[in-house]
Amino acid sequence: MNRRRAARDASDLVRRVGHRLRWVWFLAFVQFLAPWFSACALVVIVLGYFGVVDHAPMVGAVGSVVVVIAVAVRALTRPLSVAIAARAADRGLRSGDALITAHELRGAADPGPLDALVHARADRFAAGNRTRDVVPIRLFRRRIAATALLVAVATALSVVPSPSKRTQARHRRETAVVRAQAARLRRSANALGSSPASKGAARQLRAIAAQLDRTPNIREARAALQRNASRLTANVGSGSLAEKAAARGLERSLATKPLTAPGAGGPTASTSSAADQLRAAADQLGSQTTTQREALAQRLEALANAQRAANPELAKALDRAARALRNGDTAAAARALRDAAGAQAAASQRQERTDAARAAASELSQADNALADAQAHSGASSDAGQQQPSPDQSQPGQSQPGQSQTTGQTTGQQQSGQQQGGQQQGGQQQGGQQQGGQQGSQQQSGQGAGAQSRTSGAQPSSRGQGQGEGTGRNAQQGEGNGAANSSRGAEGEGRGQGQGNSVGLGEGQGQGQGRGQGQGGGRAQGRGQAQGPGDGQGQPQGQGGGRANTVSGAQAAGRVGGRNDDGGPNVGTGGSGLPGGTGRQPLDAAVRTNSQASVYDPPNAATAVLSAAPAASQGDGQTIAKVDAPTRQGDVRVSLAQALPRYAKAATAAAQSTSLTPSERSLVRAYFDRLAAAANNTETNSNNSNTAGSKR
Amino acid sequence: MSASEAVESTPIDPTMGPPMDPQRYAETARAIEAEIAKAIVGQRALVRTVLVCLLCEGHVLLEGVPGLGKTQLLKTLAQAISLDVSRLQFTPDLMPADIVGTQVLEEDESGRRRFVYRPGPVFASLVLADEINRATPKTQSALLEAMQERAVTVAGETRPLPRPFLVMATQNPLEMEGTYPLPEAQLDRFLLKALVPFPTADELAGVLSMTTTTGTPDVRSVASAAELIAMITLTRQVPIASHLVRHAVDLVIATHPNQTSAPEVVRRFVRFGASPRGGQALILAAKATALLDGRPNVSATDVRAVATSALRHRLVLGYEATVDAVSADSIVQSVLEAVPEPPPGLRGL
Repeated sequence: MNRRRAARDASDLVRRVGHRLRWVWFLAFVQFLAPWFSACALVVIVLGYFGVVDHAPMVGAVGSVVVVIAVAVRALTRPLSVAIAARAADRGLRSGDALITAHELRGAADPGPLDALVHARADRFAAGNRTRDVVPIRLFRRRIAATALLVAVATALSVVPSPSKRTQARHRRETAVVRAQAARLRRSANALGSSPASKGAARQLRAIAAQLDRTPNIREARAALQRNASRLTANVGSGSLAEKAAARGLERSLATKPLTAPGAGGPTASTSSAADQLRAAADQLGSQTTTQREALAQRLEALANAQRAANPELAKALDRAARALRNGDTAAAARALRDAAGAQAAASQRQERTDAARAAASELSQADNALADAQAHSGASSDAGQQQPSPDQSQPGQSQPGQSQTTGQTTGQQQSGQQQGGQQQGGQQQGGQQQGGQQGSQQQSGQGAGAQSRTSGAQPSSRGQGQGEGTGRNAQQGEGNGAANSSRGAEGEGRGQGQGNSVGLGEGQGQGQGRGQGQGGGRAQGRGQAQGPGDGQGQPQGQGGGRANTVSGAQAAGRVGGRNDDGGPNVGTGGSGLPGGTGRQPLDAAVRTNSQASVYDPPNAATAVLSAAPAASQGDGQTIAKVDAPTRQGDVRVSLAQALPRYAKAATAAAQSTSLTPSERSLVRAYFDRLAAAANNTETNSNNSNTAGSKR
Repeated sequence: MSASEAVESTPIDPTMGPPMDPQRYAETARAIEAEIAKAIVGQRALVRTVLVCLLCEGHVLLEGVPGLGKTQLLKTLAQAISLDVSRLQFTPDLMPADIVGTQVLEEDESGRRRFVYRPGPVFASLVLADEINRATPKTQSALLEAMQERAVTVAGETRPLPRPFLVMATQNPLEMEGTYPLPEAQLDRFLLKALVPFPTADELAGVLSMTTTTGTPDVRSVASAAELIAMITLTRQVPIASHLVRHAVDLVIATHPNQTSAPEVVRRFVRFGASPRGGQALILAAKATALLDGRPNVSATDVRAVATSALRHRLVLGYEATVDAVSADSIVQSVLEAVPEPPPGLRGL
């Protein structure tokens, strides 16, 4: 190797030393930086160990490589003069600055008498020496030892499993779930279409999706979803369902029996909307006979009666048109009919917007459910409850307060009726079903469901209790979920409160608190939603469910409630009970119905047929609409045993939905199994009672 | 005083002596030292310092108690090189004319009277100014001109001094009563200051054995004045690397208390640092040291080796140094520690 052979003279040696100096400098500088950078890398890895920094080992490794490369580049590019090499050679050879002096004399313009001697002496020093002997590689042993120690510690920390890795993995999973739901919301927004009515809801969905993209975890994502869902549903008109039913009824009625005679030049029944038919009727008034006008006036009055509650504006227009026809004022009747057409069109647009908002709210609800399920699977429930009920960490005798959340949502339908003032308190009923002593026809039904995960080793012996209270200007139908987790020796309590608006469409949200003794805590969730048209007297009826998982000896109690915010005089309290809940089946309270339990079952009631003909008239009435809504006709309450098979069938079909998690399917299935068992027992007891009575 | 003024102004003619090379230079120097060693027991460092000053054509200040052989050293040196020597015992009543000479009125054979200049003892190649601090400043200044200008001016006529010209002044550090300490300007004229140490026991035994018998040392002349001048010339021709010049500058600057490179000791105890003559002394003495070692170039070791003797008398110490008994030598040592030997210029090597 040419580089390894001995130098010929001073110039040769100095030149070689210049090359070697770069390598020596590189190693020396790396050794100088190594302890400091190792310390920095160790700090990064320690931070990564505790979850502050992601991919800490990778950061440390990449940083080390970058530093080494930077030093190497610097070693190759830094200016290195011959004078420096000569001085380094002098130092290595201990030549008493002979080489550097010779180097400087080499360029002198006026050589001195000693120059030749200096050069000769420098050559004598250089000859026979190798660069590795002249400029040896320096090893800083302390720095190397310190670096090795730091690297060993960092490597150990990189290899040792870090508790933060699970947190990071969970964080990544949660982020992925949240992002997936955000994408789904965007797809839903696109699916809503670009019509003017649905544009607002689609825009809100996209905004919520963007908000989810910025949300770091499921808990905050759910909070955002619930917050936005409340806003969406708040925009839905209070009488939207009634108005929708009225509008569709009018459309259906006019489709079945058009206002204009076939072949009259107006739009056909099959292709025209109600508004078009009203406009066509206005145009054709002049060509109608008196008898036809009278028949049209009667038809319009019937339609007005059907629309009066839900769409007063349309009803008034129809009334004006009918009166004008009877008075022979066709011009006024035509104007009134056009006004009615406008009112119908406006109602249709409102309904489109409302439907879009409902669809958006439904998407948010589905997203929330998906996030809740993912949260339960990822073990993030403790985060939601702000507690860490890890059974591994539980120690009897220690308490750790927890906080649980309860969200409530009630849905219900209500018939129109008169409301009587006064404040009313409903009694408590075991099983979470309650009826208040209010006057007026009112029926409500409710369901409650709860879901929760069980910790290993937990036993389902717990006690749950739920209470709901609501004011009943409107019917409410509630659904609540409650769950509590506690470990051995824990005792938890959850409380919730929901609100519904005065027209029966509302959404409740509650908060719960859990307290634990020992170690552990509780979590409760509930949802309530109220929905229903009409302004009749309301009697809250609801079922609340609470479920708690505790280990043996634990007690848990939860309360879910809803309160109407209309300030109305009626106040109902209900939905209490569920003592002795078994945790796994939190809705067993609903099973404990009395033997006379009945449910409000509008679909099972006789379908109301609205006839255009007055009751006192002769001849067949004209059916203008069929609604699947409770009417005053017939008994809409049926026994639970009668309705239960159909409910179970519908629930089974619904449970096959892919949006439901296995746990939720199991829960629904178990719930109806218990309902069936309770109904059988009730029927058996009733038969036994009848038999005993016959014997007596 | 400008830097140009500080430079020795007397031109040196290289043709005055035979060609000289480093080897012969070193051999001659060793021969001189060997001859001196016949009369001076021990004191090798002192002899080397005096020889360096002679080869640099400078002057040397010796500080030591009486009886350590300072006069004998000069006499022996003069014998070894065949130079004339004169001795001046400085006393308070010593006048400048007693040094530089004076004009006397003489009458010739025809009876005419005229002033004739009678040279003083300064007109010798080797001048021993014994206990120089006992003369008055006026007398000291007369010697100052001779040392710096290598010439004396009497009655308006300047007369050059012979070459080589070396003033070896002595002063007693103990008996300071009735003395006139040399001013800084005069101290700066001395190239080096050597401390005459008390001999060791063996050396003292040798001194006693040598001086208490009838025999006298047989000192031979091993070099001529011309050879000495050639050596002086060669001394100035020794090349020195630029970074060593810079190192000498750094050393001088570090003796100034207001410089950032000055160590804490300098900041605390030194009022004024070394003058540019200090730097000249460093480099010249280093060159002579290199040649005396047989090397044709100066190394950093040479510069640092002469730093103490070249800088110790150029530091003006403050009152705090006297109180804390801090010597100039310790301060120069601190400066050497604060300004290490110049590294190769590449960090990490």
